[in-house]
Formats: sequence, structure tokens, C-alpha cells
Amino acid sequence: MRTLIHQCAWEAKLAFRRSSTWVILGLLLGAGIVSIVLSGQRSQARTEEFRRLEGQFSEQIAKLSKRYANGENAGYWGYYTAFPVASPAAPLAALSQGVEANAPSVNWVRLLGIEPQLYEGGIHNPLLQTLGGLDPGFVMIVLAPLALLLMGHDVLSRDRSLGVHPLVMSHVRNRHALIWIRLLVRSALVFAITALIHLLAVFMLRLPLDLACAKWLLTAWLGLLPWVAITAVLAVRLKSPQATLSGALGMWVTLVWILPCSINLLVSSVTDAPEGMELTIRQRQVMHDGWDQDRKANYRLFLERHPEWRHLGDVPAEFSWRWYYAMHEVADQAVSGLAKSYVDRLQSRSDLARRLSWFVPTCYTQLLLANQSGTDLDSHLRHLAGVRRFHEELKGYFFPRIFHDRQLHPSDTDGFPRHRATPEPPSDLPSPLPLLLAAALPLVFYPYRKFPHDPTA
Amino acid sequence: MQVICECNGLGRVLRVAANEIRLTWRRKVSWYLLVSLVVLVAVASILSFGRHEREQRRQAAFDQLVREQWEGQPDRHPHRVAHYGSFAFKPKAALSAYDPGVDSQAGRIRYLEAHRQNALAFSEASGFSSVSVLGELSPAYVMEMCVPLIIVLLGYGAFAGEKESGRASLIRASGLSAKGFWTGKFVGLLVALLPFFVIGGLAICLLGGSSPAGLAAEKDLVLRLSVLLGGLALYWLLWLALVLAVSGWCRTAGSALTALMGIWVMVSIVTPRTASGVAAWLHPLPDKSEFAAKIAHQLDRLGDSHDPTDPVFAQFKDEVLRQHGVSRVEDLPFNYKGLVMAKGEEQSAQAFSTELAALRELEHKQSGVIDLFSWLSPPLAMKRLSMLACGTAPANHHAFEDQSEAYRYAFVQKLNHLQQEHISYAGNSEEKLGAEHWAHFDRFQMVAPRMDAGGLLRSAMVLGVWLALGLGAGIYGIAFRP
Repeated sequence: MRTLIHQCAWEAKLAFRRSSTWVILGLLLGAGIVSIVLSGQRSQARTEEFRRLEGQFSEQIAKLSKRYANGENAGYWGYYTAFPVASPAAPLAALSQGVEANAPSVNWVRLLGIEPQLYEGGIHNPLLQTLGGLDPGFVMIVLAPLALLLMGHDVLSRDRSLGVHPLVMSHVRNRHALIWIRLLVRSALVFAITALIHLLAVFMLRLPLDLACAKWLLTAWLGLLPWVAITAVLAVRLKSPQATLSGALGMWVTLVWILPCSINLLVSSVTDAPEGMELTIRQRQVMHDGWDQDRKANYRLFLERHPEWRHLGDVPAEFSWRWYYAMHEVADQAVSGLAKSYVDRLQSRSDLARRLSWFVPTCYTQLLLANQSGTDLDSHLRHLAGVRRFHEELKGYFFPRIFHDRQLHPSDTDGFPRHRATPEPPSDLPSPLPLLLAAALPLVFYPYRKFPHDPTA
Repeated sequence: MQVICECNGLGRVLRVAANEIRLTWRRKVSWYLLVSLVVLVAVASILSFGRHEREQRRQAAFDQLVREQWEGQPDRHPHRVAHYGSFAFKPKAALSAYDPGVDSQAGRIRYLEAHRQNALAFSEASGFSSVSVLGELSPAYVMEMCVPLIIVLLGYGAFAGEKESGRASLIRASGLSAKGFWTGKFVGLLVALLPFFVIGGLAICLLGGSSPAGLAAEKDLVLRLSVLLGGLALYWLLWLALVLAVSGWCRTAGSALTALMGIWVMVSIVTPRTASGVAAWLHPLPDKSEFAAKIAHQLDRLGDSHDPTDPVFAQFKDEVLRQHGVSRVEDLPFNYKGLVMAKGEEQSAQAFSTELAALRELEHKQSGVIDLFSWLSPPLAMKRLSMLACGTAPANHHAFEDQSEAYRYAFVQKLNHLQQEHISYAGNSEEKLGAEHWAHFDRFQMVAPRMDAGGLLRSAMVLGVWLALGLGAGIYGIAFRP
């Protein structure tokens, strides 16, 4: 045991004697810090957006209260009030941006048809989105493996190129052990830097230091395990430092860039979701046709789905809020099938990507990290479902008042339904099994019996 | 060595070059890389092109549907039609299959209606899965990220390898000048790498040539392709010079490869993403809610055309009555309600335009930050050049926003005008306009803006400066770091 500790300390000392170690670890740490600062900026902007919502809503209510100081038909209040529906960021969202970059987490909802209100994008500069962002998750899945490969690829080949290989080998009892101790010590340095980045993120972004937070780091480490195995195999199998380095870079480029990007292109090429556009166009058509149709006939379509309003009888021939909102509901009903298949399509697209990512550790780690950060597609779909639920709540409040032609007064606005963000139940954690398999797979190619290119063998 | 010694100056340079070519293609890795490139280019091109065509067909079909819906409207009140509105679809640029640029992030469809300037919806990215942060493979990605890697992998040992094996001093001792040595290596690698460049160039030409939209504007396409290929040639040369420079400065091939890989990661991956984050940080855009609140504020200031008691419009009414010398709006020679709608549209359009212009200004500032960062990152400069050449740059997106807004404003105002002329004031709530009018409205036609010569020039300047630095450092390195 003591010799083992001694050996590890010696290898660490050797590693730190090389300037490249300092450069690689320093750059990794630097990139990590930059990513934390930028993520902090992003999540702060989002927090502020959330904080302002309440004020924006009250301002709106104050304006309407002034306009309808003496009360007005509930239909007007429903028409002009927009309610913010915001899904607060999960505590770890700042660590991995996920689909949040593209999918807004705030929707303003009015009593009108819900479908056209769901899909409006946020305000973004598409150029910045195209270039992508830098967050701690990115550092963990892209840059840390590279650091690991650069540190570990020459555990053996450097000795060879320096000509000291036979000498070193003649001094150790177990050659494999020597290689692994070296590799693990160097890997440990990279793991330590990632832990440091994580700690800095926790500290600088004021994240809760809890189990979930620790799990995030463990997941990131789990994502690095396959890379340790890959490095080991490359380091032992290939001869010269140039060969191990080229091999390592080849693996990195393939597994981190080419395969994930190809998966993304493949997924978006073979599956698409035209239902989104189609339902938007259809909803408009049905809704506006409602204006030209006989009002009573249109209202009967509404009653088919909502028999609870039958007792009120037909709508008047002229404009009435009852008819107006029923017409919006009919338009929503007309595209409900399309809306469902749109969500299904997004889900199946995501499932396909998920299945394919079983074969690419980088993708899988990204998936796990986004899942734990609450920024995966599932979280976004839950947000959209929450918007729909709140719209139902709005109808539940306004429809009885509108259908009975009630007046609402400024004092009633306190009773308006408000979206209360409920803590989302944690979605099922995808299994870490693929990463363990990915870590085990390269070891199949490890030469256990005999050292290749061994001069003393 | 003997052979080199027997030749004159130029002959020696050519020997070095020929040797480089021979050695490059003797290595198995060159063939692997060639096959990989062919596979990558093929996969990226076929998938991108397929998606491009499918999107284009679908948009054309939706566009046709929307037009049929428009013309198929029954008799309607013009203002009803203004609310019914229309959709504008962002056309795909001919070369967007090569470089989708900002197109996959920006929305593709815009609902055009009275009183509002809606944001674009349904960006490609809104349907992305959770693993997309690393980006999507595109032919441009292969040319701008992978080809430089190939140059690195085949060229890193050009000088460093020779130094490590001791051959460099032998070659120099044979009387070959540093410049000659460098030139030989440069020419040799350039020729050795030609198959890669040719494959890349051919793929681009094929992609451009097989797009019907591209062939429709052949002259423009040829110009765009030439700019793109010229830019890429400059970009690849720059990498070649950079690789040789680093190889010349490093003592061992291993350290050259490590350094080059570090440079590649920094300029291709870390810098663009950092630039994006810094730009968002320095010039934050308002969020959706804040933006909506600003618009509402502007609209309040300008008055509500639907509110008969609005003071702004009361004043407007008095003015109109005075101009026409009548005392009641009923006596006006046209439908006053139509005029109010027109006036209201003018005001709401102005409110939106003011805020959107401020937003655009912020976006320009953000782009300015990206431009500054592009001095640190040739791939970023190349990205701008290729987006401009492919018609998928932010400028093209802005042109769509502007043109669809101009179209929206024109048809809404035309409807308001029809309301003034054909609908009476007294019968404003019952009367309708005949369905025959709907066919007289134009379709939305996007006119693609010309390539931004300034942007192209700035990108070319960045690439040129890096090329010059690479060349200078390379020759200097060989001469003074033996």
C-alpha cells in the first residue's frame, strides 16, 4: 500500500514537472471559469425576467382597472388581460443550457385560442445561437475529454521515444500496473480540475450544495470514464507518441464532434414536425371561418364538446362574448389532433436522438447532464403542457362569468387565476448504463497478456 | 540527399516538394483521411440537400395553401380580412444546403395580421432534441472545421518531423536556403492536399448546381460560388501556412501536433462560443415580456384606434372634420372608420418599428462584437464569409423581416383603404366587401439582398492577415529556429 501511494505521488510529481501538464490543466480551468461567468450572466438575465413578470402583470391590470373603473363585461377583461406563465429554471439550469437556448420558458397567455399562443419564439439573435454557447456542461463533455487524452496518451510512448522504456520496464514488477497508475494519476488531475470547476460554479452561481449537485458532477465524471479506457487502449496499443497523439485526437474528433453532429443532422433529416406550421395555418382558418358561419351553428359545435353549457340555450344572432370565446375553443378543438401529433413528433424525434446517443458517450453524457439540469426537451414539453393547463384554468374562471354575462370590477382582478409554478416532479433519470458499457468496451481491446511493441519481451 | 545536392536552387525546392508529396501519399493515414472526407462530405451533402428540398417543397405547399385560403375567402369586411391576415414563409437560399447559417435558429414562418408585427415562429431549432448543443453537421462544417484538421494531421510533421529525425540539418547543409526549404514544403503539401481541396470544391459546386432555386438565378449563383470557393481557398491556404509555421517553430512533431490541435480547438470551438457569450453579455437583448411591455408603452402613447373615446383619436377626428369642412363624421365623403383604422395602423406600425429598430441596433452591436472576435478566429471570419455567400447571414434574415413587414403593412393599408371607399360609415358593422377583391392582392415575394461586400471584405481581410502572419512566421521560424 505504501509503495502504491509512493508511486502515485512520484507519478504526480513527474506529471507536474512537464510544462504541458500546466498548460493543459490551466486552459481547461480557464475555459471552465469563462463558461461559469457567461452562464452566470445568462441565468441572471433569466432570473430578472422572472422577477419583472409580476410588475408587468400588475401594470397591465392597473391600466385595465382605470379603463373599466366602473366594471365591464367579463369578456373584455378576458380579451385584454395577458397572464404570464413561467416555468422557473431548475436549480442547476445554469450548468447546462440544453434546449433553453431555443425554447422560451415564459409565455403570456390570453383567454383566446391557445394554439397560436404556444409557439411564438423568444427574442434571440440567431447569429449568437448559431455560434452556440459555452457552459460548464460543455466544458465537461467536450474539453475535459480532450485534456484527458492529451495528458494520458503518452504514458508509455513518451518513455519509448526518450529511449528509457526498457530501463523503466526493467525496474517494475507489473508493467500493466505501472501504466495504469500513471494513467489514473494523470486522469485524476483532470477529474480534480473538473471538480474544481464544478465547485467554482456552485460558489459563483450560488447553486444549492446538495445531492443533485453532487450527482451532476458524478455524471460528468461518469462521462469521462470511457475516455480513460480509450486513452489506456490507445496508449498501450500504439507505439510512437505521434501515433498515440494522432489516435487520441482522431478518437476525440470522431466521438465528440463528427458522430454527435451527424446524429443531429440525421435526426433532423429523417424526422420532421410539419404539424406545427400546419396547425397554425389550420387554426387560423377554422377560427376566422367562424366569423362567416351562422353563429348558432358554430356554437353548436362548441356544445358538442361542452354539453355542460347546453342549459344556456343558443347564442344571440348578433355578437356576443359567449359566441366569441366558444368560436376560439372550436378552432382549438379542430386542431387538437394536430397539436397532439406535433408534440408526439417532437417527443419521438427526441427519443430517436436518445436511442442513437446510446452509441456515442458524448451525446449520452450531454443527455444526462441536460436532464439533471432540467433543460432537456422533456422539461420544455412539460412547460408547454403547463401553459395548456393554465389556459384551462383561465377558461374555468372566465367562461362561467362570460357565459352568464357578468360584469367584472377592478376589485375582482385579485381573484383572477394566476399561474403558480409547481415544482416539477423529477423526470426519470436515464440509465447511466450506456456510459459504463462505453467505459468497458474499449477494455476489450486492451492487450492483457502481453505488451505490444515490447523490446524486452 | 544526393539528388538534392546535384540540382540548382529551383530544382532543390522542387525536390523537397516532390518528396513531400510522395511521403504524404505513402502514409496510410492520408488515404484513411481521404476516404473519411469523401464519406463525410457525401453524408453531409446528401442529408442536408434532402432536408433542404423537403423543406422547400413543404413551404411551397403551405404557401400555396395560404394563397388559396386567401383567395377563397367569402365576402368579408375588410378589417375582418386584415385580422385574418396571411403568412409569410422565409424562402430557402439556394446555397443554404451548404451552409444553413442562421436559418436553422431563426424562425421560418411569420403570421402577418393587422396592428401587430409578430415574431417569427417555428425555427428548425425549436424542434431540436436535447443532444443538439454540439451543432449539426453541414457541408460547411466539414469544409471549415474538418478540412483544417486534415491539413493539421498531414502537415504537422513537415518541419518538426524532419528536425526530430535530423534530416532538416542535412537538407539545409546541402545548401538549400531557409526560404527554399519552406517553399518546397509549402508547394509539396499544397499539391499533396489538392485531392482534399478538389473534393471539397466539387461538392460545393454540385450542391449549388443541383438546387433549382440556384439555377433560377444562375448568374448570382456563379458569383456566390466563386466568392465561396475563393474564400475557402484563402482559408485553407491560411491553415496550411499556419501548420507549417507551427511545425517550423516546434522541435518535435509531437509538440507541433499538440500545439496545432490546441490552436484548432481554441479558434474553432472555444473562441466562437466565447464570442457569442460575450456579445450577449455586453449588449443584452430585452426579453420577450420586456419587449412586449415596451411596445404596449409606445402604443399607449400613440393612442388606441379601437377606443372611440381615445384623446389622440378625438383630436385626429376634429382635424379631419375641419379639413373637409363638415361637422359630423357621417357627412365625410368616405368611411371615417376606415380612415381611423389606417391611421391606427400607421401608428402601431410606428410603435413596433421604433422598438424593433432598437432591437436591430442591439443585434448589430452584438454582431460587431463577433466581428472583433473574428480577428482571433479565422473560422469565425470564414463562417461570416460563407454565410454571406450562401445567403444565410443575419442580413438575409433581417431582409426577410423587413420585407415581410412591408408586405404586411401594404396589404393591411390597402384593406383599410377599401374599407374607406367601399364600406359605408353607417353600415360599417354589417356591410361586406365582395370576394372578387381578394385575388387583387399580391403574393409575398422575397427579394434576396445582394451580398454584403463590406462584410465579405472584412472577412477576407482577417483571413489575409492570418495568412500573412502564417507565411511570415513560417519562413522566419525555419530561418531562425533550426
